[in-house]
Amino acid sequence: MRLLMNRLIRLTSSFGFVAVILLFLFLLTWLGTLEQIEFGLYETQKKYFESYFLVHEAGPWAVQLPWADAGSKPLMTLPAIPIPLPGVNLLLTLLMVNLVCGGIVRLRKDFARAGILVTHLGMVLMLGAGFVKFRWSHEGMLHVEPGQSNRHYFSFHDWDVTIRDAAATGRVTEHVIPGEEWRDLVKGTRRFTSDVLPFDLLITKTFKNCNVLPQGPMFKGDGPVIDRYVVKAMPPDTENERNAPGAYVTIAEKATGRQIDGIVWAFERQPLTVLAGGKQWLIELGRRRYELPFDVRLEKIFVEFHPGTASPRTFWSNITKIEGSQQQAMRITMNEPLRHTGYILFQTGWGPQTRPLPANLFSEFTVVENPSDQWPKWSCFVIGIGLLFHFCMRLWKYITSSRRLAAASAKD
Amino acid sequence: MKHFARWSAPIVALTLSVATLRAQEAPERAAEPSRGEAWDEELVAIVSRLPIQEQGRVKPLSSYARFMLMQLNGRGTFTLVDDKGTADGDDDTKSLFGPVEFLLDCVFFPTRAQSYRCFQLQTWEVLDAIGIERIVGRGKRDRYSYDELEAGREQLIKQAQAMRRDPIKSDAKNRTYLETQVFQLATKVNDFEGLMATLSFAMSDFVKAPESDAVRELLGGDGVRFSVLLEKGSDLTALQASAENDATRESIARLQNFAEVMANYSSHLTIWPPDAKPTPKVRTSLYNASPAEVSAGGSTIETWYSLADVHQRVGLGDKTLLALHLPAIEALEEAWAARPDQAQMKAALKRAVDSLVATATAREEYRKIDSEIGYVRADLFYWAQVLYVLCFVAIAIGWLLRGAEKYHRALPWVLTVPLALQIAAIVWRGYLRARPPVSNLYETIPFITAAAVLVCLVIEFIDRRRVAVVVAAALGAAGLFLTQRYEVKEAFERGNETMPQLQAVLDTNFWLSTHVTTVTIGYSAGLLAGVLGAIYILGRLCGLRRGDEAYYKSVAKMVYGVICFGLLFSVVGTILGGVWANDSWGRFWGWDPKENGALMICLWEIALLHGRMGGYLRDLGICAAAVFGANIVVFSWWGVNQLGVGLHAYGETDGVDFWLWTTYGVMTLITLAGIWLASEARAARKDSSATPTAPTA
Repeated sequence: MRLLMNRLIRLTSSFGFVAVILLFLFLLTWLGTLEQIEFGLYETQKKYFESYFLVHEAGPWAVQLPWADAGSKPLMTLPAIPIPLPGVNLLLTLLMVNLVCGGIVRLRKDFARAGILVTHLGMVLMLGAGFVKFRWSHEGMLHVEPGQSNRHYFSFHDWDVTIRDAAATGRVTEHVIPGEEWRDLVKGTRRFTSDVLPFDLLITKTFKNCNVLPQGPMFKGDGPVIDRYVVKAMPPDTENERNAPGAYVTIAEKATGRQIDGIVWAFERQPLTVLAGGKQWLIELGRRRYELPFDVRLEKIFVEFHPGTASPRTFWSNITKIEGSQQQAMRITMNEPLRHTGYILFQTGWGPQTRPLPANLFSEFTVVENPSDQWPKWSCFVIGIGLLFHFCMRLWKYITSSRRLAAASAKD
Repeated sequence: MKHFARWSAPIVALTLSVATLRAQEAPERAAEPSRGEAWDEELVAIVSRLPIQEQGRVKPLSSYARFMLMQLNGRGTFTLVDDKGTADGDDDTKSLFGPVEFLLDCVFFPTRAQSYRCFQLQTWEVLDAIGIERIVGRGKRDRYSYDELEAGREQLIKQAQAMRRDPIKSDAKNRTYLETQVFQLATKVNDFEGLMATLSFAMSDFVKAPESDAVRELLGGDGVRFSVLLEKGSDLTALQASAENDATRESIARLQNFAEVMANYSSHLTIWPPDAKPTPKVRTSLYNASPAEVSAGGSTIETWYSLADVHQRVGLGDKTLLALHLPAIEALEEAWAARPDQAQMKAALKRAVDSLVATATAREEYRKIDSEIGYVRADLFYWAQVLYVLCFVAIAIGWLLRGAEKYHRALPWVLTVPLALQIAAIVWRGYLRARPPVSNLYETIPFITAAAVLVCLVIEFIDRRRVAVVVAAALGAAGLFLTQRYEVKEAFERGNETMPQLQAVLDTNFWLSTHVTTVTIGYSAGLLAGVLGAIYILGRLCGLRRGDEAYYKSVAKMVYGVICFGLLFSVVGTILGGVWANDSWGRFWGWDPKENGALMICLWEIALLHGRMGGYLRDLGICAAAVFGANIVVFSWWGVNQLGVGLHAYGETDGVDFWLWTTYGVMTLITLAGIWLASEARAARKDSSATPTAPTA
């Protein structure tokens, strides 16, 4: 066992091992870059950069004569070749093991390798930052109207189904069915139940991107017609934020067994309303909502254009951060975010961008909760110092050896 | 460049208005006088100084003229061919115009300018598309004059407007090649027309003198001039209100209409500063600022006026603006009337330019104009390129000389001259823009070239093997050639100048000077390593210096050293980019194509160094990998911009795909040759170790 462990450690800490991992990372980065043209960033990121294994489809290949007109029909189309590959998550895990075993623990600790050691420590810190961000970070959009305050921000990519009592006022209790539990539903039905609800919710069909339309003769829907409306599936948009998911749901009342069918859709103006257990309930499909530990009140947003153009030179928001009884006036602008209690608020957008611009503009902030926010900056310093030290030493060695060689050849 | 929608409708309307005016009451316009002699150099120098606000910044008219000429003509100068009509063209005389001379012809002698063959076409299919017959003897990518294109102008505008209205075709990405060419030509024709109409307001021969005595008396009785109408605008309005007969009222209405139409027609150049107050701290483009915030910052207006704006504001009672610009308007009228007498024109133009310069100076917006004129005139990149070529020739001559140690030792020092010129040009640009050396794709080219030449010279001073010095001269010449071609290409095909204003996210000198500079030095080193690696492989392949292992060892060491140097900058630059992204967009890493390109360079170089340390790669392997690494740098530098996705997709350039794929192909072939040589060398080593040693005596 010990022998096996030793061999394993020797393998994972070898130069060959790290070279192979780096080449695979290189390959995946390249493939993932090209795939973004067709599938967009979000899908590509999930498939290549946040996975442990994946199957890359090389092709299909359209065979065409070099002199054929652009857009003309290909001679033949060769089928796609599936190539199984390790995902970036797996590769980064192995790289971390290699860095710790080979780059730190087994590295000979002498003056000549001090720079390499420091560089490897910086790399470990950076990979650690990436892991913490991947595992514990989340982000969303905070929209604030002028003169108003808000503390709720909404995810860019995650959608949840929420259920709440229609009669409730003030702070209400929401029953949330996270998107992770239903978005992969392809066949069959998923039932969601809660002791405090008088009904079960059944999700029977989901759509990544869809439109809800009144049933008519012009098109065929992709599900049953409910209250004269039907869901029409749409091809997924390469910009994931633009996708409008939807689902067919059935509400099964526990006491009576009565079933009510309905549709929930991302861009629905009003939630689905059902009567169950003597109460009205609102069922909604919406972006996942997070709450800041403080309120943000937008005092004013300033937008400055390059003179004579419609191109913004800069824009910033004057806000007031309200935390309990404390109020603090602050400014958020491009490249100068607000960092507070583990949250970072970035000036992302403003609007409405109609012409002429209205007097009251709203502001949009990207909110990120990332425990490893500043780690990459520190890792940059550490890696920079390590590499600089090491390569300066190598340069000095090169200069002295070149001089020695030149002197020797002059002697000859 | 102004947008198509802005010009198409008003121009058609204005043309109709002017035509109506002319039909109603204008006498025949006098024929355009002949320019005769070439433009006076002093006059050209005076006009060059005129400040103009364009694409969000104040610049000298000479910069504007150069950009416009490149946009139309595909080069920064214009050659006028005087066709004598002979078949072989041997008798034709050619005269070369600078951009300001060309602009002066457009403005003061528009009829003459219309006959200039200054519209470079990318394909003559554009002519077919707008219903113009191809001219016999002209090539597919030849130049045409406005007169030759005028027959298809209506079609051209109609098609361009249809594209603007079409929800799909309005996005340039969705246009076919031919549609793109049609749209571009329409835009250029519009700009040319705008330029020719710049002094329309000075053409007082459009309108005959008013019949009403009262009006004649008010205007001074010596004909109708725009400046007089502008000055007496309020008096005319008062007279119109009090006039008892309809003829007077109608006469005034016609004159006011004339003034408005002429002002609109003469609005192509934004040369009229709104006031003479110092540069505002709170700017007018600052939307949403309260009056108190604005007045606290000084001036209320940062955007300069066109003549139409001036006319409108004066009409609303802005006497200060009238007093500020009336002398210049009068002087421009005089210059127009003085044609073709260049001495009189010069005097009038000097008064106009001095007046506008004084206003811009008072606003603290003229500070760098003279410097920019000097920068354009000095054309340091061009001269540096010439010197690099001469240095390369000198090095090549050195190959023929045996001995001549002093000659060879002097060459790297000589190369510091073009490098110094190049660095001076980069620093000069930085001063003009108040930016670090690299803030757009254009600026990466001279910067990367300069960094590569500098590294080569350092290597040469250490190593003295005359390899790096050749590479320095060749890279310098090639890089600066690319710099100049790219500038023309951007102007001609995309209407982009090389000193554009930055978008909000890039408006940070700290990150531009740290991340962008370091990552660009990383590109430079990656490319240099690739070129040195190619020299190693091609040398081996062609049997150069056969048996001189020390030479090859030395080149391989250079490759290794440059990769180490490049890795430091690539890694630090890439991480700094992430830190910037973390401050701007809220995430350190977003797998954006540009970020991925930089990461790929780092990964490749780290893999290469680990492969060397592990003994998997020897000299040939390192060189082959370095050549392939240059491919990755090219992909990261140019290739990802062409993908059209991601947050960094602002660098997309038309027409570079062919050169990109050629580079990829050549570099890959050299890499494969390197791999083949490495496998041959390995086989040879195996054979030699397997051969039993002969018994010695």
